[in-house]
Amino acid sequence: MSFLYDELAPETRAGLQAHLDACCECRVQMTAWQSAAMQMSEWKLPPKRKVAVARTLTRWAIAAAIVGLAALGGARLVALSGEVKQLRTEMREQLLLEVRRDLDSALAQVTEQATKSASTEAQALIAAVAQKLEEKRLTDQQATLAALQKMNAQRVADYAAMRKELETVAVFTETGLERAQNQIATLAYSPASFSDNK
Amino acid sequence: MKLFSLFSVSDEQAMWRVQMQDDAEAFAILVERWEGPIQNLCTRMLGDAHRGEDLAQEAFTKIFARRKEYEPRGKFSTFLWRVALNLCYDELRRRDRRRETSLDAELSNEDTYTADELPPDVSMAREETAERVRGALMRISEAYRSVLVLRHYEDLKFREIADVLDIPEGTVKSRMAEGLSQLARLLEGEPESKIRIKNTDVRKELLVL
Repeated sequence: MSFLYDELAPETRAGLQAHLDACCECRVQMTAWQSAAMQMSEWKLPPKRKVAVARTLTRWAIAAAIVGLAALGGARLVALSGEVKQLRTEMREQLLLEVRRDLDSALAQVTEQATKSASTEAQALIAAVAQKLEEKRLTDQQATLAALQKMNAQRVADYAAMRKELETVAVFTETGLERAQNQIATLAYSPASFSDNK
Repeated sequence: MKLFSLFSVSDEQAMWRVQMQDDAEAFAILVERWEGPIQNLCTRMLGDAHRGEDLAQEAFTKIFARRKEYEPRGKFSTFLWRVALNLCYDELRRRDRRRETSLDAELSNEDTYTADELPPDVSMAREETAERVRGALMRISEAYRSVLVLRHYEDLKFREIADVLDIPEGTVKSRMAEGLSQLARLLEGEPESKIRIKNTDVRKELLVL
């Protein structure tokens, strides 16, 4: 096959040619392939019209451009600079639009993130406040408990002191009553003295 | 200046621009360079110039759509030939299905021309041969036809065809030999068995190179 399509190195080709000269069967085969290949070449396709047209147009366009440039010269340059200015203005507007669109989307993203982070912060804050409140409640509770215990102790101590005083009063009262009874009795048995005294 | 630089870039560089920057100008250059060969390939594979043009357009559309899949290490042309050939295979399969499901089950016009039955309106000897070749090629299986078309009409080397079809170079050569033999048989109108027996031993020797 490489022989048929000329893809062989010259020395290899020469070797195969020598074989073909000597071998009838191979020569017949090669001739059949060559014949088929030659007939294949008869199926020609028309040149691609679009390409041909495009090439002609390109040539004319290049020629026209050269002539036009030579004729117009500086005027074309001025016109070009005007076009460039216009293009620049258009591009600036387009860029501004794009930048604005980008900024809007970036702002939306930032706002979304901020909202998210704000809500997270608020949650953290609430948790901290709750913790503080709990701590405060516990401290208060402990303080109240201590105060209550102190008050209770005081009450017990007061109660004991009061009881002691009451007992003393009771003892004194009892002693006083006895003394009064004795005096009454003494007075009862000595009416004279009572009347004397009277 | 930009256009000038674009004209001097290689296919691979242009395709890289298409791939990385969606560069429409670079793609236009590739289409300009390859539209003709791809149209010819599709026309020869399908035996139909109009459908060939459609498929060539489809191939470029597909190339653009699949531009990210192109690996810059490989040749752009290999990628392109492969995409176009696969589209041809799909089209041929669709035709087969249509033919199978059709109640008439008639061969389309291009397939009715055999070696000894020529269309009545073909009078010129050259046109006659061209029509015979086209008809004969359409009767050869796709595997052989693609090798014949790529080597003979598109002038690809056997090594390049092996890359496009992703098969060993030896297989490409043996397919070429078998394809040419079948074509010769169809064009000469010889019975199949006769050629096969005659060529079995001879071809082995000639295929070595």
